[in-house]
Amino acid sequence: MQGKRKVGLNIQIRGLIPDREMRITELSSDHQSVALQYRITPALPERDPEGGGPWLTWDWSGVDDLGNEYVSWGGAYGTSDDGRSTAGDLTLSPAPANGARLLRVRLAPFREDEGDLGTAVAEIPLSDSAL
Amino acid sequence: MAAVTLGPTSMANASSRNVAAGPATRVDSGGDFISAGTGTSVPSIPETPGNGLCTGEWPNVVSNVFYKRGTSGRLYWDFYLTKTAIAKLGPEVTVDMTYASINGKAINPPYGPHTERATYDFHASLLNYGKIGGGSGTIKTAENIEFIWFIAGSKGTDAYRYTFCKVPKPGVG
Repeated sequence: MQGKRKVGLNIQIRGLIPDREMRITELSSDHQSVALQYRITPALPERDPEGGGPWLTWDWSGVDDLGNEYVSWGGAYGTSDDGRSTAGDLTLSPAPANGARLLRVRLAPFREDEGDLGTAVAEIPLSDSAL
Repeated sequence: MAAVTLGPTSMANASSRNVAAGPATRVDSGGDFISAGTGTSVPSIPETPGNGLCTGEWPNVVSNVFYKRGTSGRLYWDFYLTKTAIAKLGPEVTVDMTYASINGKAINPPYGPHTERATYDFHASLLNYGKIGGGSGTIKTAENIEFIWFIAGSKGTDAYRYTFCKVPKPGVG
């Protein structure tokens, strides 16, 4: 089985989440998926410990420069150790196609009380040298 | 962490469990803890409320699952391990969806393994899906959806969680 490969990134996503900065910090892939690690600063509010839904919900998908489509395969996020940021990942499936050099990931967060927050497209290098 | 595949065919030791409550509190019995490496000793049939809609919060001793169907028709969920679960499983967990079905037909699970801190929100969604064995589909109102998660802990205890619920109308959650 192919192991996970990782490469550091520093891609800023401007204006997607109001009053916060989002950066994609790492790309990783294995034989069945590709994942983007991200950080949002300042941290998103914590979920009410008494219950209820998340402060922010994510929708995402991808397409590479060869036209192959990638679907969301789950994510996870939480507050960083220092409490200043929210760290998480957004995973897509399948693994990057052979020969693909660029992955365009559509990011579409929304909030229950505010609706869609807009859409951003992150262009992620997929070259062999990057992975 | 133990490598365990959970699905209906691997659930050998069926046991009888009661659905804990009706819609008012809707605490469900769809999940429990297991010793690492003994992933077969779980019930054979999901016993979450059969008529329940995939809306709002589904509390359980292992995790609370929060469902919402967006206006686009996509079904979203967030999976939060409970404080009890975090204490038993340890600070780092791998959450994986080992089985998913629509109206009893297996589909490609829409959640891959994620190894993260146990306090994280493990989230995903479903609209279009691929059927096991070929073909594809789109979820529809009133279809029955079954999800089974396996949670590998980092201190000798694992857990499983499942829900069986009906797709609500778009925009409900």
